[in-house]
Amino acid sequence: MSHVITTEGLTKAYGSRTVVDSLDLRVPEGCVYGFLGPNGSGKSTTMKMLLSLVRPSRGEVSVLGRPMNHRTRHELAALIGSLIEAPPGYGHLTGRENMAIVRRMLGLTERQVERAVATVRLRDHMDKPVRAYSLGMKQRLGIAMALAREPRLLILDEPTNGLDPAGIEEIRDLLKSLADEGVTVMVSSHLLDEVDRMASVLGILGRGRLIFQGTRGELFDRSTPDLVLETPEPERVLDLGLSAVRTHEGLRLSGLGEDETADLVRRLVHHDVPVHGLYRVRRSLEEVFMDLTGREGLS
Amino acid sequence: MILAELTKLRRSALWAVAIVLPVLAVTAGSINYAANQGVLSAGWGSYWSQVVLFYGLFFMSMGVAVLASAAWRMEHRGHNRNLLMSTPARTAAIVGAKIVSLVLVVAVMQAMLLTLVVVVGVFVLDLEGAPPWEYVVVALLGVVAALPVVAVQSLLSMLIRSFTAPVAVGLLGCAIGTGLLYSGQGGVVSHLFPHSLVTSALFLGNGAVADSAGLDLAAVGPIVFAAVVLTTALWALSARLLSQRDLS
Repeated sequence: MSHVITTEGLTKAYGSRTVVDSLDLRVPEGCVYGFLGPNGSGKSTTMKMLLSLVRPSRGEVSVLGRPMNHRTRHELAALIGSLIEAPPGYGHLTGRENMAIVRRMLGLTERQVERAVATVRLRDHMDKPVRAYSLGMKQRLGIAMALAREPRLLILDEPTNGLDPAGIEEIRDLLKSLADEGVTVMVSSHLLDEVDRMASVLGILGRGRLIFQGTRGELFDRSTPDLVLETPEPERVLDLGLSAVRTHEGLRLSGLGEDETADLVRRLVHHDVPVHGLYRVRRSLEEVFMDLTGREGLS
Repeated sequence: MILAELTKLRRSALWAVAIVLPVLAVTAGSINYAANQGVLSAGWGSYWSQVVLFYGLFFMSMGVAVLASAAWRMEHRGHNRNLLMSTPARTAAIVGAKIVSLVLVVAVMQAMLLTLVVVVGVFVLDLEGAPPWEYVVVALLGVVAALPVVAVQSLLSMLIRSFTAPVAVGLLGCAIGTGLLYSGQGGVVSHLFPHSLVTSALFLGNGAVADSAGLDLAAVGPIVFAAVVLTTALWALSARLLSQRDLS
């Protein structure tokens, strides 16, 4: 599998404070890569380093097979659409004038701009000044600016901020369809559910370090879900010396892998414990994430 | 990039500066001229000297400082710098386009000054004869001499997110520039300092201002040369810093 973005030991430190620490990112071509992490975990700084808006303290970035740094940035810029931190836009100008600025800076055609505007469904608002836009409309304009150049790689930092649920769904569908067309999309979000529903590969950042990178399936394998044991006689299970928490269904047991589960079943049968049900808890991505980030959560 | 920069100037507050400053300069100069008829000789020369006195010393350079701060404020606001730096343009082109667009506004400011000087001189002060053509040359030379001030104020405003701090530095520059011109340190040193270069250019051929040179090649040549050299150096420095500094 070829990678559109690779980093080797990517690090950013401000004085003695390291905000991004030794990242080895691998973003496969044509996927939606969900970049997750609590606020302040270093996502935006990492994305800025990928775009060479911020210089790494250590490490290398390679984008589309070429080194990305302040010398090569302008050569790669035409191939990369981005929206970092907050949507850009000149408030005293209309949406149309803002897109004209992008068209002129990038040497695009009117058709490319119109297609990008149509894609984010902003056509009816292009003659309003951007200062009168809602946050959601600004976000759409920012995405249109990133899309207009028809990029091979899209790097979007929290692109659904400020959008209503219908808008979020639209952007999610848009990003998935772009990936289907071969565009690689790297998207950060604080809404885990949103990333869960569009990303095929995930990278999870905690305190500046990459604590997981892989597919959704691999992520769930990394964190073993709890077992729920439904029994009318939970005391007898606890008497076997098992560590479990009582719930209204019976008992909840943590950290038992496949072999340990098989051993548990053998012991329950051996001691003739009545079992009405034994199953793994379905876990949300958020629960897995909380496990990996040490309950640091997203706030 | 230049066309993109010019688009940003539409309905921009920068134009208000280009209109208000010449209005202030011509108003102050006209009042001064009218109130000192006993001291000043009548005619275009005295009137012009009163207009460009404060304009040359402070108004023009301060106007450039405000224009540069306002122009870069557009980029600092709303993370537009991310957009600017995500284009295929080299930083030299980005900074160069910003300088060119600012110089255009400065040229409009000079045109406004000339127009107001003529209109007020003819219709309000009822001055005799036609306005001297040399004022057009001085106004144009003022645009050239303002290039280094545009470049240095653009550099400061690019590096400092605050609107007022670069303007305050500009005010300090005006004071230092005036000091260099009138402390006997003139000559080469004052030509190497952007703010005093503007004053020198606007005072050319101005008999009412002490130590002002005549409007001839010997005076104009060094000003143009110094303006080109200083601007090129400041432009290159700006491009290098923009390329190497992190966007916060």
